[in-house]
Amino acid sequence: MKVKDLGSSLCLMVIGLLIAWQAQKLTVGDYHAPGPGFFPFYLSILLIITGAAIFIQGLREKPEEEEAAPRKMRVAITLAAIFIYPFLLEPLGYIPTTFLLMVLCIRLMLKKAWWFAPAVSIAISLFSYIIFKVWLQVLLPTGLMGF
Amino acid sequence: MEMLHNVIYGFSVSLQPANLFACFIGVLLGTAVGVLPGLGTVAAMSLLLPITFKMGAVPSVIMLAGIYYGAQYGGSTTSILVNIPGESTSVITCLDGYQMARQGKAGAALGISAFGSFIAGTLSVVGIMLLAPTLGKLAVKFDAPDYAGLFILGLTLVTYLASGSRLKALAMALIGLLLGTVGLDPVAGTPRFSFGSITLLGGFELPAIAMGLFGMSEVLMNLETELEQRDIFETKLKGLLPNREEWRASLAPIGRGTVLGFFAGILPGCGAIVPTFLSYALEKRISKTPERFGHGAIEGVAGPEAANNAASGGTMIPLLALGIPPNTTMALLMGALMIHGLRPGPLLMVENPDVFWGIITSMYTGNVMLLILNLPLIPLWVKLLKIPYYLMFPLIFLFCIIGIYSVNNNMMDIVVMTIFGAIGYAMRKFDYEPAPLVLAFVLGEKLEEAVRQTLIFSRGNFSIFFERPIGATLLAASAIMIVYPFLSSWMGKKSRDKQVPEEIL
Repeated sequence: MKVKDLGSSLCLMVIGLLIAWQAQKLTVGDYHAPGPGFFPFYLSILLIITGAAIFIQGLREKPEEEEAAPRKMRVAITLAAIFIYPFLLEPLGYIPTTFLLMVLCIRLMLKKAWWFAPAVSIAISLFSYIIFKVWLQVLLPTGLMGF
Repeated sequence: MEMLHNVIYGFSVSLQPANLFACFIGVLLGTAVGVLPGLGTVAAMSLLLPITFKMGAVPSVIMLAGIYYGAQYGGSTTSILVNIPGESTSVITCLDGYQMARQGKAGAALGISAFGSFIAGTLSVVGIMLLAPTLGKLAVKFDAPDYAGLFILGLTLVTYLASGSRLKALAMALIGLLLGTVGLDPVAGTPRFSFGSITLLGGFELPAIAMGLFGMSEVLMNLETELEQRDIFETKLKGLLPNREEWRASLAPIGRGTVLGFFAGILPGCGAIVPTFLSYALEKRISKTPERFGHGAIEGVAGPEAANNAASGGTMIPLLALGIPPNTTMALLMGALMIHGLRPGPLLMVENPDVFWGIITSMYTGNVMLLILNLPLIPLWVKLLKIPYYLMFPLIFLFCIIGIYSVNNNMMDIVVMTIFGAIGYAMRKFDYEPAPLVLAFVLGEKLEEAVRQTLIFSRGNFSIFFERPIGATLLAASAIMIVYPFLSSWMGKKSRDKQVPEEIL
C-alpha cells in the first residue's frame, strides 16, 4: 500500500465528484447539442475513473520509505508570508511590505548578525522599487505613506 | 528558391534592432538561468511571460525562445566547471566534462560544448526550415474533427511519455483541461465555475498557473533541501579552442548527436533530456575505447551537448507547424503567441510569415551570439554561481510577485499564483508532474471548441471523428496509447517507469 497515492487519488476523486456535481447544474446537453457543462462533466467523470485507477494501483504497490521531513515549517511560513503579502500591499505600500517579506525570507535561511537581513532587505526593496516602478513603470501600489 | 526567399525575409525581420536586442537579452538571460542550478528554464520563462505583454509578438517570442536554447549553453558551463548541472539537459555532461576540467582541459571541454552546441543549433535551424513548411502544408487540410484528433494525440503523447506514472500524468492532464473550462464558455458565453467571483469569471491565466506550478514550487522544494554552497573548482582557463586532435574526435559525435537530438525533439513529450542520454550511450557503445568514458572523454561532452541543442530546435517544429506544443517550454511559447492574438499552427506561416520566419532565423542569430558571448563571459557565470541561495530565493519570489502583478495590476493574481505555488509543491511531494497539466490547460479551450463544433456540425453523430482519415488515424493512435498503460497495470505487469539514466550508465 502506497499511502501517498491512496491519499492523493482520493483527493482527485473528490475533486472529480465536486466538478461533476457543479457541471450538471450547467447545461450538459447531449451529443446532438453539447452545452456548456458537456465538456467539464465528462472530463470530471474521466478524472474520477483515473483517480480510482491510481487508488487501485496504490493498493498494490509497496509502501514508500519514510521520508525525512526536513524543514517543512520553512515552506509553510514562506507560503503563508507570500499569501498575506498582497493583502498588506495596498494599505502599507510596496516598499514596507517587500521589506517585511525579504527580512522574513532571509532570516528563515540564515541566522547571521541581527542587522544583516534588514540591511539587505532595505537594499532589495529600494533597488527593486527603482527598477520596476521608476524605470519599467510598473504600477506598484503606493500605500498610505506614499511609497 | 522559395526557401531562400523566405530565409532572407526571415533575417530581414530578426535582424531588426529591436528583435536583435530581444534575442540578445533572451540568450543572455537564458545562459544565466542555465548556470544557476536553483532556477529552471520553464520557471524563468514563466517569470518573463508577463513582461512580454508589453512587447510585440515577434520580439517576445524571440526572447523566450532565446532563454530556452540559451539555457542549454549555460547548463553545460556549470556541469564542466563545478560538476553541478545547471539544467537537467546537461546532467550527462558532468560525467566527462568535469573530469576534463580536473585534468586541466576545462578550456577544451567548454570550447567543444560551445562549438558542438553551435553546430547542432545551426543544423537544426536548417532542419526546421525544411520540415516545418512541409508539415504545415499537410496540416492546412485539417478540419475541426482532425484538430480534435490532433490535440488529443498531443495530450496523450505527453501523458504517455511522462517520466513518472502515466495514470498520474493523465489525471494531471484532465485537471489542466478542467482548469481551462473556468470562466466564460467559448461557444455559448455562459459563465462556468465562477461562483460569483470576478477573478474566476475571467478564467485562469497561463502566467499565474505556470509561475506558481513551476517557479514557486521549485523554489519551495529547494527550501527544504537547502542547496549547500559547493566549492568552485578554480582552474585557469586557457586555450578555449580545442586542438586539432580534439576536433577530430568530436566531429562525428556532434553530427550523430545533432541528428538524434533533432528527431527526438520533434516527438512530443520527449524533450531535450532523453536524447542527451541516448547520445552518450551511443558514443560509448561505438567507441573503440569505451573505458575512457567517465574519465574525461571529449566525445562524451561533444555528443550530448550537440543533442540537447538540436533537440531544442526540433521541439519548435510541432509548435510552429501544427500548433501542438511538445513540451512545457513550448506550451509557454504557444501561450505567448496566443496572448498576442496569433494562432500557432499550420496557418501561422501563411498569416504571419514575419513571426514564423522571424523566430526561426532568430534562432540562428541567437546561436551566433551565444558562441561569441559564452566563452568570454565564463568568468562572470562562475561569479554568478557564488550568489548565496538565501538571497536568490527571496529575489525569485519577488520577481514572481511583481511579474504577475504587472499583468493586470490586480493583487488577486498574486493570490492565485501563490495558491498554484502551494498546489505545485504538494504535487511534487506526491509525485505528480506539473507539465501535463500546463500543456492541457493551454490546449484545453481549443480542444473543447473543436469537439463541440464537430458535434454540432455533425448533429451529434460521433462517427464523424472516425470517418475522416486524418482524424481517425490520430485518434486511433491516441486510443492505443491511453488503453495500454491501463492494460499493463491490470495484467499485473510491473510499472514500466522509464529508467533511462540507470540503464545507460
